[in-house]
Amino acid sequence: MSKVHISRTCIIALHNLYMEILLSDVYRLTIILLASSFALKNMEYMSMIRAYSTEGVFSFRIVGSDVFYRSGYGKFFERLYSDSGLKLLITISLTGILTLVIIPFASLAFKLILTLVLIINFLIHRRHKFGLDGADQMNVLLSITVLTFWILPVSNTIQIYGIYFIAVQLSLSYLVAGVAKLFSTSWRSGQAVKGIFSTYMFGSYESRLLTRRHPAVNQLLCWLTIIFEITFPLGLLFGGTGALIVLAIGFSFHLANAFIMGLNDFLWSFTSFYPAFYFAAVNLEPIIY
Amino acid sequence: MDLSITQWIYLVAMVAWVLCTLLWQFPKIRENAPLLSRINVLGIFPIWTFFSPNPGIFDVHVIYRDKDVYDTISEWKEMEILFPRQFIHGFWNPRKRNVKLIIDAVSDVKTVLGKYRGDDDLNSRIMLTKGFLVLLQGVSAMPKLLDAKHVIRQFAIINSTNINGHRTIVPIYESQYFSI
Repeated sequence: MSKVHISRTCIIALHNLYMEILLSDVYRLTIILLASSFALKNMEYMSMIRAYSTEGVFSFRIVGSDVFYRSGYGKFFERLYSDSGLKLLITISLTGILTLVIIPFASLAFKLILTLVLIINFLIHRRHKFGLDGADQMNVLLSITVLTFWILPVSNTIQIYGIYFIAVQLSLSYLVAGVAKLFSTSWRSGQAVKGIFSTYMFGSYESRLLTRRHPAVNQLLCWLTIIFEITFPLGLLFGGTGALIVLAIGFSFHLANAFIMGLNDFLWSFTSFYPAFYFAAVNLEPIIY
Repeated sequence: MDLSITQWIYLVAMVAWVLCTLLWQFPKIRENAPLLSRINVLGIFPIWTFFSPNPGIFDVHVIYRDKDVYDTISEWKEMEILFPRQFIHGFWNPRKRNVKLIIDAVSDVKTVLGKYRGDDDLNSRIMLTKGFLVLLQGVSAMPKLLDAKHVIRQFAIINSTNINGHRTIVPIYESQYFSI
């Protein structure tokens, strides 16, 4: 009896140790993906920096007019968000991201620099509301989660909460998108994909040709998108294998969107949620079964 | 449950955040819930309804023309917003942000157009929108179309569809002339 008890304790201890290692790896992977997403975004901003000058289309006096004219700190923000200010923020962010590569993971220096990178990217994000997309929203959500659930000195349990929170938010993002499409006539009828792909903004030559020549493809793509997005959260209920299957489909979905629609940042921002989703599914498996 | 106070705080905050995010998906709630808007001042509630319920099936075009002191009017010229999709865009696509900026600006103008169509002060309302100012800024930066020292400029917003290869053009808005 005592032998059984000891081996059970050992198994639980091993399981906890495994989960602890996995937890650390999940946060590491999440942070690597999030930082890569920021690096890409920072470099894309830098390549278009002239658009952010006073004469540019992204001039802070225009896109940030609500902050510039209505707050008492207009001049401060104007300097911060001028093209030279933005250049400085981006340079600090990119230097910080490069430094993270060489600093030991989870050390105090790592956490301090990561905090700086997250805050700077949050400031860049808050510069203007126009011109932002869902990928930017995902980055903000994950940044705040990493900051409050991992960087702040919290217990392992709270770090696990953070993982579940990320998994739930990811599931919600797909579920809400899927349900909204299900209630849309143009998605149900197959016209949505045809319409989106027919534009020069979000379509490509090949996608236009494909949807024009094969009308059945439109219907198929619309319904595949709806079914994938609505069933995505179920990946949490079928353990590691189930999670890997939906994540592989999700990755392919965003990869296709990147090349066809030019939404390259969605690929990085959504996949940075994936390690947490996998961990949550693995962790839930013994509870469900 | 045997949870510490910190754990309870985190749990409650997480559940509240998820619930608020869910509520934030509904346009009517976004418009009529000042408390949620105040909490969301940092943009922590995302909107997940990508390309739905009404997917963007229009291309947006901004065109402009110049007029000189002798009332000579140039041809319309289109601002370069759209670029053909290239393989590289799967990895690197900085211009998508400019496209999105113009989409958001046009959408802002269209909202006011829809809300105040027929009103006497429609034009002044439009001119006070951030969307109009963004478009004005973009159009003003374009080179002159007439060989004259002083010109005034007008711009227009056009939507186009390209379904089944049939191009349909829908004029949305035409600005007044303004000096550049």
